[in-house]
Amino acid sequence: MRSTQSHPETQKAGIFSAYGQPEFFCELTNRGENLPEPLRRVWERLAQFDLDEIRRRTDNAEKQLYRLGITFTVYSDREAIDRVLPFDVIPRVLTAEEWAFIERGVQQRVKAINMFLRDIYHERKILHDGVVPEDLILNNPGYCQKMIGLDVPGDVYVHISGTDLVRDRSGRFLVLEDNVRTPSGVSYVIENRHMMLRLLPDLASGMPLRSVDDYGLRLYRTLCDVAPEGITDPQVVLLSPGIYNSAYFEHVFLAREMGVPLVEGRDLVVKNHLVYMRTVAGLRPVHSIYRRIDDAYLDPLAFNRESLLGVPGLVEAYRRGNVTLANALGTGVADDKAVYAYMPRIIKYYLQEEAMLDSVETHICAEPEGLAYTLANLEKLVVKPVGESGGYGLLIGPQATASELEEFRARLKEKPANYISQPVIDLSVSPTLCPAGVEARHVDLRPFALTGKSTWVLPGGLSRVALRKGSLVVNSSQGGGSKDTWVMSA
Amino acid sequence: MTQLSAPSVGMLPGLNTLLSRYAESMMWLARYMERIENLARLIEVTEAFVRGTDGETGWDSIVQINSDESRFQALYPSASGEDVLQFYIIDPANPSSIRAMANAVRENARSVRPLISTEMWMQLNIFTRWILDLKPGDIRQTGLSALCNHIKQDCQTHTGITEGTLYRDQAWLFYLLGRHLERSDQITRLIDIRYHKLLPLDEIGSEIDTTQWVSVLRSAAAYHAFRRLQPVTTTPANVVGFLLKMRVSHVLWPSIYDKPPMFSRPFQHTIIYESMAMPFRNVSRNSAQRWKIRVPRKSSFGAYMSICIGYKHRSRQFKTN
Repeated sequence: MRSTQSHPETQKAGIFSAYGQPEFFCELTNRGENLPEPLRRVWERLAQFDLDEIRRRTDNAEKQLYRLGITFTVYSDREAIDRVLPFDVIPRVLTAEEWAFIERGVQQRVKAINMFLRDIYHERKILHDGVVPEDLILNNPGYCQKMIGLDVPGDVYVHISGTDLVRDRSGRFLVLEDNVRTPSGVSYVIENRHMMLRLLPDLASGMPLRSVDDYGLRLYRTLCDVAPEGITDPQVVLLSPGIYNSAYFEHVFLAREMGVPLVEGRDLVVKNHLVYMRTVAGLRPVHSIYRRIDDAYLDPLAFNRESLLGVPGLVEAYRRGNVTLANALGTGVADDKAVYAYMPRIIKYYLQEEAMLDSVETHICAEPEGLAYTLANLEKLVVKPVGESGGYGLLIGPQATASELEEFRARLKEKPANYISQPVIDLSVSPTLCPAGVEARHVDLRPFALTGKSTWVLPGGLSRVALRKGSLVVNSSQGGGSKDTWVMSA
Repeated sequence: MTQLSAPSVGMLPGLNTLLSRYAESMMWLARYMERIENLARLIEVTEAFVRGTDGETGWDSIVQINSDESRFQALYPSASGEDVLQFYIIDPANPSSIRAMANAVRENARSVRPLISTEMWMQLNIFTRWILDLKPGDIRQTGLSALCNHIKQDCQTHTGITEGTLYRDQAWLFYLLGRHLERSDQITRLIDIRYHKLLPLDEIGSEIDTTQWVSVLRSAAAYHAFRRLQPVTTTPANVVGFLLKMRVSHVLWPSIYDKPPMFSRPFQHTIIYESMAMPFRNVSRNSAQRWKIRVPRKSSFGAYMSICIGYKHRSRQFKTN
């Protein structure tokens, strides 16, 4: 590729001819004074395509995903509808320096979260020292009584995590939330890369792009690392709720990549506190379980008695150290939206260092001053319910009507402990192929980390994009799509 | 030079740990695909070749072959040819309609998706989606042959992709088991019903009779093979003999069938032997008597199935503990 020093705007702009300079931080074009060299190269190469060409090549993308069955399933009445996560072909690019920062920031966070979980299920020093309110933790719905005093292999509670990051107007990375229960989306990171290379092989060719292909292998090694002590050749399985789960494709994907059986609760049986799977050659022992079933449904004897998804006796087998669950039980307390507000202090408490990744300023409505501030500034804030995920039930103040604000105010006063509030972040944008041409759309980033004996961060992550113009909500249930995330090695 | 290595089969964890549920799904996946192909062929052949005594298309024989008389009459009291087609192609209330079977294929394929090749899954995904989206208007007698051919071709594509891409482990053996089980079931049903239909007329040897026996061969995709072997005489005896007794020389089978490495002893003999010999041996008692064929005792259906799915083995394990 020919390298020039002139500013992008002065060259042939191709698909970018109508893009202009967005008013937000643009992941590709608008980064202040100097566009980093790797980004300039991607920009130049993209600019060589014209709109018709890129449309012609990407027309097929969703059809391909549908045929491959890379879908999530939505159920209505009696019909099962397979939906495709819309794929945008223009990649989101991160430089080697940006990635190095994210990587260290995520590693720091995961380390602190694991130490925090160990502490609150053992000595509770952080609570005694008053850094985090005892009530918030011990009465948290995510706090699991069965974990109290239990030692887990390598003191790892969170083996698989996803950290939702956004960038503000200045390009600073902020953590929006942690996902340390059963984070999903990693299969799309890898499938998006494959799709990208199928559709635009000439865009990536020769670029110093870091591979995302060995996630499955790393996940498998992680699960072997944390198998019960003394097991040299552990049997790993992935426990799924089954073919009707909306993330079933991801479960299949990961089981295949790891080369391990994808089991359902009915395939496992616990005898004498040992876990087995039912095979054609009889019962076979199981040592490490990557479970994609929530705590509450894992074991009808320990939690929800109605659950048919779980395995009776699994939790007791786990408590006796005969099997490893990844992630551990009771990790949900660490990604609680109210606990999130304390995360900078939690990091400082355990690691004696400042959090590398900033958090969004958060007002806890359970606290009187937080509630008062939220009520007084409702039209400027984003208010989130603590227990929800998937972008449901939140209020974006500046975009709400007067009556919506009033209604929410009443709800807040009724159950303040259910909510937190944050200032609206002007999320960064990325050029995105839209019906009218290439336009700026808001994006976030979810890097995935694996923790066994150490923490490894997949170089990439899920870049979700809000396809509706002006929308800040990137969730797939709310009209979001995704992009391939390119981490440059140089 | 690079040293090539292939771990011995006994050491491969994947070969010894097939989940019983996967085995079951593989078997049913194969059975339903085989059944869909057979049904599509049967409908096509019936339309073109099968005539009753009154010269009308013998649609009712399809209902009889599938033992669906009571269910069909309850749903369609005044049965017409169109009704039979609706009932067998897209009626979701009929568990043996192509639509209902495509749905079963889809669910089984989803279950074993971690096991089968991406190519197999993709083709089944497209095929079953297409069947599930068929509307009553798509089932017209004028376009019937084309529709049946499309279905048959998709089933045969599936067979080819499976042959080319499915790893030869236990899952594959259970797949073979399901296919041959279904094939032998279909062939015996076909012969039973046609026999009943044809025999009472007492016109053996007449022109219509020969046509009807040829249609039996066509329904089993065996017509041209039969012709190569029997160019001159088409008698009920040699048609049925061809379908039930004709054996393929052992020399033609790859040695893996004789020495299955991945099954523990109790399974070895039964499964391999049966799955290969199945189409020629697993004949129902009635037709066996009628056609004077000796059936080995051990292919008793119930015991056989329980071994396939592993229940018997499992219950034995539970008892010892």
